[in-house]
Order: sequence, then C-alpha cells, then structure tokens
Amino acid sequence: MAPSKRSQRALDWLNFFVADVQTGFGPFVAVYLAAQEWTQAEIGLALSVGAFTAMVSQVPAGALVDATPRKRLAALAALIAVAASALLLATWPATLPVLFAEVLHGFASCVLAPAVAAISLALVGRGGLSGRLARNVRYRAIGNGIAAGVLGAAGTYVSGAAVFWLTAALCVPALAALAAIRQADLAPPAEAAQASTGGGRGEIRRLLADRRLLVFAACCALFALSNAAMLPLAGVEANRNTGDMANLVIAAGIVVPQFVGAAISPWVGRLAEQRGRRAALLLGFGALPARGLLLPLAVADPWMLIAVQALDGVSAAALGVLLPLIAADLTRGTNRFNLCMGIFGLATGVGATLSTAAAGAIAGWLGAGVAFVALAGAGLLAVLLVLFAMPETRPAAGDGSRNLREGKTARPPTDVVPAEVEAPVPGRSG
Amino acid sequence: MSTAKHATPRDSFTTVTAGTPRRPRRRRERRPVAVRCALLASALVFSPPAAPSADEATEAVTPAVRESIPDGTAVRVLGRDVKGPSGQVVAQVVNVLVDGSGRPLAAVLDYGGFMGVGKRRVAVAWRALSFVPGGTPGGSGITLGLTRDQLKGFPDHKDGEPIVVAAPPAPPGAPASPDAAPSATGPK
Repeated sequence: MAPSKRSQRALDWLNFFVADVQTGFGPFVAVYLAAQEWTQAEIGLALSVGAFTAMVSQVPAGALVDATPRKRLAALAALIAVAASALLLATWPATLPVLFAEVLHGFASCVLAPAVAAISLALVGRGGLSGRLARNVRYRAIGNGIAAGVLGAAGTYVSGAAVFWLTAALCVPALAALAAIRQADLAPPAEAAQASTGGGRGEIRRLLADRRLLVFAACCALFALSNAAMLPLAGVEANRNTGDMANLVIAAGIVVPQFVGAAISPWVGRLAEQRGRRAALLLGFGALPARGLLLPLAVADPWMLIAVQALDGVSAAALGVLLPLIAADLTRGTNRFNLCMGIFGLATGVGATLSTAAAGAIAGWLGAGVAFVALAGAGLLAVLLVLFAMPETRPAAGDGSRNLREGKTARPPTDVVPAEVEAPVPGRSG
Repeated sequence: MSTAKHATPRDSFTTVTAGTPRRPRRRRERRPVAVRCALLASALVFSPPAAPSADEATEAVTPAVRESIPDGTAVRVLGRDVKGPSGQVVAQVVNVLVDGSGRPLAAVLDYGGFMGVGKRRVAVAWRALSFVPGGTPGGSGITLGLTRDQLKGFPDHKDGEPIVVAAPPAPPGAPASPDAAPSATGPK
C-alpha cells in the first residue's frame, strides 16, 4: 500500500510550517528582550537556559518519541508546547515566564524534529526514505527562507512581540497539516521491530558501541564546530565593511542558502541513494572548508559574499538529508531511530556551542581572518573523518547489511521519487 | 573626512543602572529579579528638593521627595531602537556611559545586522544622538546622526579595552564649536 498523495503533501506543509515556527525563536528573543529593558546578562542567561535545555533534552526526547507508538500525537504535543511558549513570550516577558518559555521551547523542539522524522519514516518506509527526507529538507528550507523575511519585517515594522504572535499563529496551519496526514498511511512503527529484537538495554548498548554511530556523531560535532560560527562571523565582517548595504547583504546571506538548499536537496537525496551516503556527505562537508577559506576573501564584496554563502545551502541540505538517513540506516530493525537522531543532535549542539565561543575568542584575539581559517580547519577535519573513518551505511553495500531485517512493510521507492520530482517549488532559485 | 575619535580613561565611566523615577507604565516591565534599567534624557532639569515641612522634620526618617516628570518629556533609552539619519532603525541602545557626575558621555549600541546576525557593538558619543520624547506624534524616539558609511570600519566596543567612541565630525568652517570639542574631559 503506497502512502497517499494527500499524506505526502501534508507532510510537506508540516515541514514548511514547522520551519516557520522555529525561525521565530532564537534571534528574535534577544532583540525582543533587549527592548523590554533586559540587561545583556539576563538575556544571555535566558538564551543559555534555552540552549542548555535543548542540548540535554536531545537524547531523552528521542527516546521518548521512540517509546510512543503515536508519533503524530508527539508532534501535536510539541507543536502546542511551541505555540504556548511563543504566546508566553509575547504576553508576559518577565523573568520566570521567559525562562519557562525557553525551557518549554527547548524541549518541544527536541521532540518535534524526531517526531517529524519518525512520521516520515512511518509514511514511506526505509526504501523511500532518502527521497522523503530530501523533500522534508526542501520544504523546511523554503519555510526558513520565507519566515526569515516575513518575521524580520514584522519585528522591524510592527513590534518585537508581533514576531511571537505570528509564530503562535503559524502553529495553527502546522497543526492542520499534521492532522491531514492519514493515520492509515503510517506503518505501525514499532511492533514488529520490538517483537524481533526484544528491545531493552542490550540493544541500546549495541547501538552506542556501533563504531559508525560514534564516527558520524563526531562528524556532526565537527560539522557544527565549523559551520555554526561562519555566518555570524561573516555577518559582523560585512556589517563592519559594507556600509549602507550591510543589512541587505546579511539578509541575502541568510536567505539565499535556504533556496539553494531547497533547489539541490532532491539531488542530494538521489546521490545518497545511488552513489552512497559517503559521497553525499563528502559533498556537503567539503563545502565547509571551501566556504571558510573563501569567506574572508569575500567579505569586502557583497556579491562575492552572497555567492560564497550559497555553499552554506549545499552543506545544510547534505546534513539535513543525511543525519536522519544515517540514523535510519544504523537503527534498521530496531526501534531506536529517534534515540539515534537525538545522539546526533546532541553532538551537533555541542559542536555549535563550541563553535561560536571559539570563533568569537579567536576573532577578538587574532582577527576574523584567522577565525575563518580555524573554522575551515574544523571543516577539513570533518571531511577527513568522513573520508577515512566513516563506513558506508547504505544497506545494500557491505557492512550495513548485518541487520537487514525490516521492521515494517517495505515499500518500493518508485512511488516516492516521481512525486518528489514533480513537486512544484515556490520561489525556486539559484 | 574621518570621524573624530577620542579615548577617555576607562575609570571615568560609570555604567548606568538607575532605577526609573516613574511608575512603570506597563506590567511587563515589572521584573522582580532584574535590575531596573531606565534612563531619562540628559536634558531633564531637576528642581531642587522642597524644604521638609515641620511635621516631617520631627520624624527620624525623612521620606523621599516626590517629583513628577510631565508626560511626554522623558525618553526611555535602554533597549530602545535607534534610527539612522534616513529614518530606518539601525541599532538598539545597550548601555549608557556616564562620567562621575552622572552626565552621559556615550551610548553603547548594537549596530546593524539582520535577525541578530552580524550586529556589532559600537560606542557613539552622546552628542551624536538626538532624542524626541514620546509625546511628539510620528517623530518620537532616538536618532543617531551618523550614517552607516560614516561608521564603516569603526572599531568595535569591547569590555576591558580602551573606549573609543564615534563622534560626529566637526562641521567645516566651525572648528571651535563646543559640540565638536571633546566633551568628556570632566564635569563642567
């Protein structure tokens, strides 16, 4: 039984609106709280509380999503929690409510991402997963790009609180999209797998001892270490050097990679399926050192800067497709898909935190040029790690096949790929 | 024309964390843990405290004198948007540096950026800012008299480093203007 077109489209829109909803947090919180006369130390505390919650929740939230057979319900609860924290921020920006909202949002995000991935897996099965994940990345990227523009305008021209009202309002279409995914199209996610393996701690231990998991977690950490600080650093340099055009250049540096990612993600998905995960990883990770070395040369010229930032879209699309795809490869026949995603998410979060701290320190101490080279170095390490230590995890090839027992009804990938190719893309560019 | 710069000894600055003399107008500004940070425009003139009346003088504690500030004469500064010469919002006020007598010397701004990406911290001379109280329709707020191009390449403001503030360049033909002279050389 193929998943219905309707459920596929609904999942597209779910990804689109989830990206919209998540864009509102983070950057706008700092600006908003500053306008509420919060001191820098208080704002830093609130954001750190949120980031810390998101980091420590990754693995437990993944395990939670694994544990429930009702992935749609988990996504529903997470979306409602995100909407609640947005409303709380908009209406009651006092210390405790804001801290509570940050904690709530941090945890809800950690449930939302794996829940959407789990719904995708249940919808198309392992066979069609790469195409489906590519579609997820495409709609998330479009959602991010549009939301950055719309929310940026709302924050600038309406008010800081308007961003959070809008965020809460965008949860409504997200919930509608979630509701439009037919339960009947979702494979019973766990029963067969649990019956076949018995589950339990031994399975988790086996997963944690899997060399492929550890190597890819290290890859994720190095990727984030290299990637996370690049755009902020380039933005500061553009702001310093570009004069009147600076904000437009920075905005383009944020939005253009999203549309590049949207344009190439289906191709990344096919690459991962046909040439293997390693090929797609090398492409995406290889864009990092290139970007790190080119950015310091490009910051003086707005067009060059935007062109180099387009490489960000390549990296982001590759990781966006491959992180859940490799998690699915590694947890084949088990019910630990979301736990595995949580581990990769944790590694990414640690890398990103270190990245901004280290790049800021190096830039202040030795200059932005050195900081860019250091970030490029981390990216190069990530490439080398993929090249020399990361095994291929595509099931048909070699060592990935040791646990090939399918936990659910296998579906031919052919019913997914055509739909993904003909999907119309608003605002496709570059 | 280069922008005028001057460094001032760091210990002559004090960070303003003054309590607001007005009752907060909105509930969201009541934060119990927070140090309340609100600053009034420097143009404000304080009237001398009224002499204590006879029955007040008999008490051990003299209550604070109540002064009211007329509506539409004070400007909130911290966290507020700053418009550029073209009227677009270009920055937010992060902090105010004052001298030993409480006179504002400079404002620290989060300048530029999009969605929080790329903003940088610069200090601008207090006289580079102009303030219009909220009562004025349309034009209220804080305006920075320096363009982006004038601030291009200006060094960032960092804690623990000598403070360099961006000041408006002296108008041509008026080199002795008191506005253009460094004003941070001590209380008047």
